[in-house]
Amino acid sequence: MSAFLQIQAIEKRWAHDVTVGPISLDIARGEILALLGPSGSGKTTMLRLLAGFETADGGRIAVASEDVTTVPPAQRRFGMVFQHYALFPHLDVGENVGFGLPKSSDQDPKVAAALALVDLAGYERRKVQELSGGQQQRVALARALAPEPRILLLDEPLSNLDPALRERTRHELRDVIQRVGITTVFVTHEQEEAFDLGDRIAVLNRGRLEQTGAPDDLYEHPANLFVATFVGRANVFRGKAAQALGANGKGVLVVRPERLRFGAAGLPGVVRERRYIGAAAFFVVESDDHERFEVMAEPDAAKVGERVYVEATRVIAL
Amino acid sequence: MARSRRSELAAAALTLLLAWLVIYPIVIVAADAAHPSALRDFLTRPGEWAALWASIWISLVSVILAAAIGIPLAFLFEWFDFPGRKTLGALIALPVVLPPLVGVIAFLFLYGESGFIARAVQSLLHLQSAPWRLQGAVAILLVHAYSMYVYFYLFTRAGLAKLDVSMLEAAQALGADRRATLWRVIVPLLRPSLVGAAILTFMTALGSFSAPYIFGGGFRVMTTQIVATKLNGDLPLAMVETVALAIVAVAGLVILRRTEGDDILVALGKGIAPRPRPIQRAGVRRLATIAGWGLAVLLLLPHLTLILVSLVPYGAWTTEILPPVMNLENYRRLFSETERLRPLWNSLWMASASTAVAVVIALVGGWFVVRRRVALRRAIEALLALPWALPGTVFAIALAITFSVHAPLQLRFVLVGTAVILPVAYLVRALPLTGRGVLAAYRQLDPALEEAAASLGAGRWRTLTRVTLPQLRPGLAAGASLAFVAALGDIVASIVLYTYETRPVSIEILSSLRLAETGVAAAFGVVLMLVSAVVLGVGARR
Repeated sequence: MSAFLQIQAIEKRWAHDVTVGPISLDIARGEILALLGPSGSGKTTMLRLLAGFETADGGRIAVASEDVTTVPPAQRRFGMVFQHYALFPHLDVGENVGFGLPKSSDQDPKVAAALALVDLAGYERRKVQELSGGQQQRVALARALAPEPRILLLDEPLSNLDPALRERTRHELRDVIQRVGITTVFVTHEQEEAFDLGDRIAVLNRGRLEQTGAPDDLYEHPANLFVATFVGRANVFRGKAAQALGANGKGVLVVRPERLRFGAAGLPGVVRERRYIGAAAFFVVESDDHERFEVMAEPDAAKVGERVYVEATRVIAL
Repeated sequence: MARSRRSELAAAALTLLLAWLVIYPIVIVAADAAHPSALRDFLTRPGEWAALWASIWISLVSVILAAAIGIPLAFLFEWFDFPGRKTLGALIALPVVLPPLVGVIAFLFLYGESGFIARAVQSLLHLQSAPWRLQGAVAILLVHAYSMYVYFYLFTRAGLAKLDVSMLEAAQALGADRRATLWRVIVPLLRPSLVGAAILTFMTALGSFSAPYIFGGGFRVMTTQIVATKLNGDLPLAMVETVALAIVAVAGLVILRRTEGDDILVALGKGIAPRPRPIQRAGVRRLATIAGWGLAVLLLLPHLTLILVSLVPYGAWTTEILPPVMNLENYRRLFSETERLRPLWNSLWMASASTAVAVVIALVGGWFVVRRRVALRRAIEALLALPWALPGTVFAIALAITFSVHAPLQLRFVLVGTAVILPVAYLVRALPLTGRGVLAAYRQLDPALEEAAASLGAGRWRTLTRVTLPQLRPGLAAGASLAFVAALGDIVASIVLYTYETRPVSIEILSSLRLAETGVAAAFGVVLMLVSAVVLGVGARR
């Protein structure tokens, strides 16, 4: 895997106690990387450092071996889709998409091609305010892609859409990015979005890179407690409870709800709540030392108030 | 790093320039006013205290009168529906279009002792002389009420339009009747709007010059007192008076701001304003309609009178109710005689120049304050707003004194008597208007738009011309058009600083009145009114 976009010990100091980085990441040509983290984790700062809107206080960014750390945004040739799209309200769809293209005779065909790519052919003369949220998002994508940038940056690309539209748009977005074959970095705080769109995920917390890896990697082999609990649902067991589930030491045990099941022996507890989600149900179980945890099981696996024993089919020892 | 140090330096230069324009002259006057004999004069002459007191109570009563007219009108037009509501609602805001001096002379032609109404009453009742004289405090208050209720009307309507109907419904659901809803929900929510209107009215009335100058007679307020003292050549006393007026203005502003309260009244979530209710009872609706149209005619009468008087040639109208001859003679003279054309030309170029510079300063200042967030951003913002807090007369005197001395080391130059001083005075008055417009627009402008342009490869110039300026245009145009209209009709600064060569339209109107050339004065007034209306119309376009 040769690195197309290299991020080397990049750092941004906001105040003496608020620092993002140093973070190093290598991203391959054509790869889609998700920056995942809670708010305040520094993921947006990272994206803005890549775009050039923030200047780094240390480190280096290179594209195809060319150092772009101090190149201003206008010359960086990185396309960006903003969280609220930042479509120019005084320009129509075609003028928005053509904004980054040089004035020439092939500007119109290029605009048309970019709009066709996002399935908005013939929308050139529409006003951006008249478009639906999903259409605005696609115009923003077409505008970012039209000048054929080297890297595509997406800032929470789906957060502005209602949930019903989000999943469909996510698949369309992935489809377009793969057709263009562009190296992409996007920011999200939603694990599902990161899993679905990203080839690889970089988990950020408090300005630090916690772990980088493929979705399965992060889920099954989290590097630490933060990644384990932030990526996916997780029950954390310590002490006696951990030992009851088969831990052999003093360490912390993380178990996904779907890796717990009701059995004849194991950790005893009482079912306090049942949340039905259709295909399955989540059971909130309270152990004898009053720790609560979640078990995902068949909807009729237990009743509220019932005394149960819980065993783990797979544990993550940290 | 280097770039931000450069912008800090540039921002410091801008701050110094603004301070030199806006604060320095005031400091000079305040320092010079500490003159023992002038201070003694001011403290011992009863006329001075009377004028100061007159300024204060006239301003306070103006606020009460304007509120008494403006607030009920706002409720009527925002909450009730009747035939002609929309047209009338717009017409009612019309006095804003009139430059103060034009409004005053229109009033004079309509209600003055030789005005239209007085003539009608006189001939109907076969009186020997005019039935009244429009003079003194009552006349001034009449003009103020007529022109300043618009502030209350517009602010209250804007406040009502922002009300959330669900909040009123919540009050009702909690058992509040109409009265309780009004006093416990609506009025507290409207308070910021009402205080805003009160401050604007108070400041405008305190700085008002045209009305007391034309109608005051022997009744002096501080603005007219200062100009009279200056014309008498008693500069030291004029300076003391100027400082006294400035202190009253600042004190008034501070006290009124207190009543605003610092609790933030932001509705949680987006609300929908209550829809206007149609008036159901036929009789009441007819009454409201008649009253509405009657009101509109009453408000439009001064404008119509002005147009009528402008059509009457010199000396053609003596004792008749209606003018016997009407033609375009006054306009022909106005546009064909070079000496008459000159003030018009002067006003146009001086207003244009000052507005253009004020726009540029506001743009640069807005960029430093909102985008670069320079260390001096609060200072820049305060300096841009400051001239609004002081009456125009204060600045006129301060500029007249500061820039009549040649002392380059003190940054004082002789500008009085040159063509530069009036545009500079207009510029100072224009800064709060363009500054506020640009700053508000800049704050609403999503920085992502400029970043998007940059990420698409647009350089600074292209980003500025293709993205930033088009987005700032509404705020910029609104501020610039207000500044232009204020400069075009200005009399407060002009009367202190003009020379014969640079005399603006307002001064020409006064001298025409003095020569009893009412037709020409009215024609000038109509031209000012039309240009102002067109400029404001263009500026308000979205």
